[in-house]
Amino acid sequence: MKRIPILVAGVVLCCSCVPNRSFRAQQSVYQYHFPDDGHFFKNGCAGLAFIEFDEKGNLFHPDQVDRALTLIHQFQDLDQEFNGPDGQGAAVFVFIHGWKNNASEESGNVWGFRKALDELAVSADGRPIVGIYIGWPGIGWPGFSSGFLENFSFGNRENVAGVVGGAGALTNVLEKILRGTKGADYQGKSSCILIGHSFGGLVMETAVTPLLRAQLAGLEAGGQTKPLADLIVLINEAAPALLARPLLYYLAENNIEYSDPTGKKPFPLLLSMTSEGDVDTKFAFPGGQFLDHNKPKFQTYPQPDRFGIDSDKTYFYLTTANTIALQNHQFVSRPASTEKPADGAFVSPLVGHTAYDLVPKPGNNRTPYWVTQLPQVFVPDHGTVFGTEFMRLLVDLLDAPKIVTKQPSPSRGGDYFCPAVAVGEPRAARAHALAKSTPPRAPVTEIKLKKANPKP
Amino acid sequence: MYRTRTAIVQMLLRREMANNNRTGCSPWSGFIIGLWLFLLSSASALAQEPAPPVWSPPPKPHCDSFSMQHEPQMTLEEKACYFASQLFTPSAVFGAAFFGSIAMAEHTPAEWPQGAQGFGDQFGTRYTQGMVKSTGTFLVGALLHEDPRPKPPYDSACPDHLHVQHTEIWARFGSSLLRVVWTHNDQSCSDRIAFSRLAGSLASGFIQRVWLPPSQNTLGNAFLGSGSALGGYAAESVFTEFQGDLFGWLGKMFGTGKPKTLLAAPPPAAPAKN
Repeated sequence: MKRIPILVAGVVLCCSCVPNRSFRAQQSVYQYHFPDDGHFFKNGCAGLAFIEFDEKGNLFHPDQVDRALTLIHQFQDLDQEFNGPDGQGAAVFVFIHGWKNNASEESGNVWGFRKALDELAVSADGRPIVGIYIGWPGIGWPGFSSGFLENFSFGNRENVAGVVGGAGALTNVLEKILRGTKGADYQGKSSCILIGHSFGGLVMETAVTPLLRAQLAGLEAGGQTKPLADLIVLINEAAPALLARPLLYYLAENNIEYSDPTGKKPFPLLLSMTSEGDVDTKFAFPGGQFLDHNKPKFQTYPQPDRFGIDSDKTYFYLTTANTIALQNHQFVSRPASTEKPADGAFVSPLVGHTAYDLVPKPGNNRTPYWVTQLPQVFVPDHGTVFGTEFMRLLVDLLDAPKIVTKQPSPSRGGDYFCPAVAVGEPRAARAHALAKSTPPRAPVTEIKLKKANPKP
Repeated sequence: MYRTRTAIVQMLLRREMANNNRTGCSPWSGFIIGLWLFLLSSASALAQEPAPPVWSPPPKPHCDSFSMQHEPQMTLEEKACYFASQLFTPSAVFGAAFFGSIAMAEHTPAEWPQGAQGFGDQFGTRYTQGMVKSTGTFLVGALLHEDPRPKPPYDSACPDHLHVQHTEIWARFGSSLLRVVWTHNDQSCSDRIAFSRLAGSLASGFIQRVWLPPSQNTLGNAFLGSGSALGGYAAESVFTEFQGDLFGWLGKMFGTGKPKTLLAAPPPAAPAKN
């Protein structure tokens, strides 16, 4: 009987023991022409680069960053060559995976991201798509899913996620990618979207917050600047709201506004969305936090803070998007054919015959850190984040401010740099059907980040 | 590549010029300079053309969780991985423990002891039955090209497929039950009886005859066990069908972190100018 606890301890230790290895040492950059197999892929063309970090947060191979930047520049050249000066530049999607994943071929997120790139490429209407997959040791045994046993590595991997995000190397890499994509002053026409999923959201938020803080700190009251990224999305983020609180406070106290130049169309600086069906962050995450042996000493505030929360406990046990007090946006559904979009709707993606308006939700969080629950039609649960509807939502979000107001080119339809596909093939039809599904918006030439004058 | 080439060209040019300064300019050296200049200009022309991408198809998936969940057709390797992943799951372990405990409480079979050893027998027999069921299903399914997943993704290449998206609750319930005994062939769009699940269930029911004591070792009990195994597939199929709804319902019920106080509403914003 005495052996049982030793056996259990051994199993737990084995699950937490992650080999510190890289999976893309030889080749980290790929230029895919996805097949049109009628089942899985849809004949898109996209670039994919891997950048891997070890569990101390250091780069495995610094040259992976250079290779990724070269790929981005190559796709920007491709845009220039085929779209000319009216091209919108490349669209770069940076994805950080979550728990139970890594950069290996056996990782579901690698394949999900590939599928998403294909999906984005066919709906991008000729805009070159590049994916940057940020890998970190999020799984116990490489190449082998240990299933149930893997669940014991929750606390261990959560700590590693914090280390990878906070070590500084990832922050530098993200800055390089952002500047490499959008130019040194972020004025370029190419787009960059940062996405973190689950523990990858934790990694992303930890890594990107110093960049945002540094940019905002350089602003004077009333000053304006260009945004770092076109969109920063945390989807089903598995990180305590405690992580977001300092930034939320900073944004609130400094009256940071994020909008178009007229100041009338707000835009998310960060967008944290959690699926209504994500029981993992709603139930399992608080359980995992409860079992965390590094729990801080909780304090109850003498009176509720500016978001109406009265204890550290709430911030520690709940994720940002699951904390009702922090939610400041919501999706409201309506029949697509009969009604107009709701007032203040930021995007109104269509799913079937239903439109979902993303509208502000009254509450205490009035910062440009948007927090919302996401209907299951976009993301049904915690893990299924690479579905078509979610990718369409990302495209809608990316198109929302119309940073560059070029209209889709009907003559070429996005098929011209992807080989073996003639003009007017189904791919172009799909792209145009998608473009039609998005209600037209008033064009805006640029969006700006503004630090408002302190209110009296 | 271009930069390296330009640097080499410039280096050679400088060397040539320095040499000329020392020795004086000859027609041959003038030709060389002209050649270098031509090369230099052609190199800069090359630089304006981006290197054409070398497109390649993605590799074949090998048992990653995404492909196994979303690919309309599974390969034999993926079916083997799916089978392996079913052998040690929380539901297999806890299911065997739960039903083993019930049987122990009822003290059936009466010949088996109570206590830890009895629980071990009960747990072991159910877990083994589960493994036999999975093995039988995998082997027959691999042979007959049947999909082992409780709800395979919709295959756009097979529009008349059984797994159409119903919206009514009873239609979905019926469809999920039908999928237990009626499945499609991997190699065509045709549907037919799910022989693999039936074979796995029968194997699970009859394997217990190897170790059951005489009081329980009857043909009736073997069929009862088979029915119970098929019932397990039915429960799995129904759960998979309604899992999203269940999670969504639970998620909407989950409402914590409500604000204790609300800030005053901000003044209404001026209407946007078009």
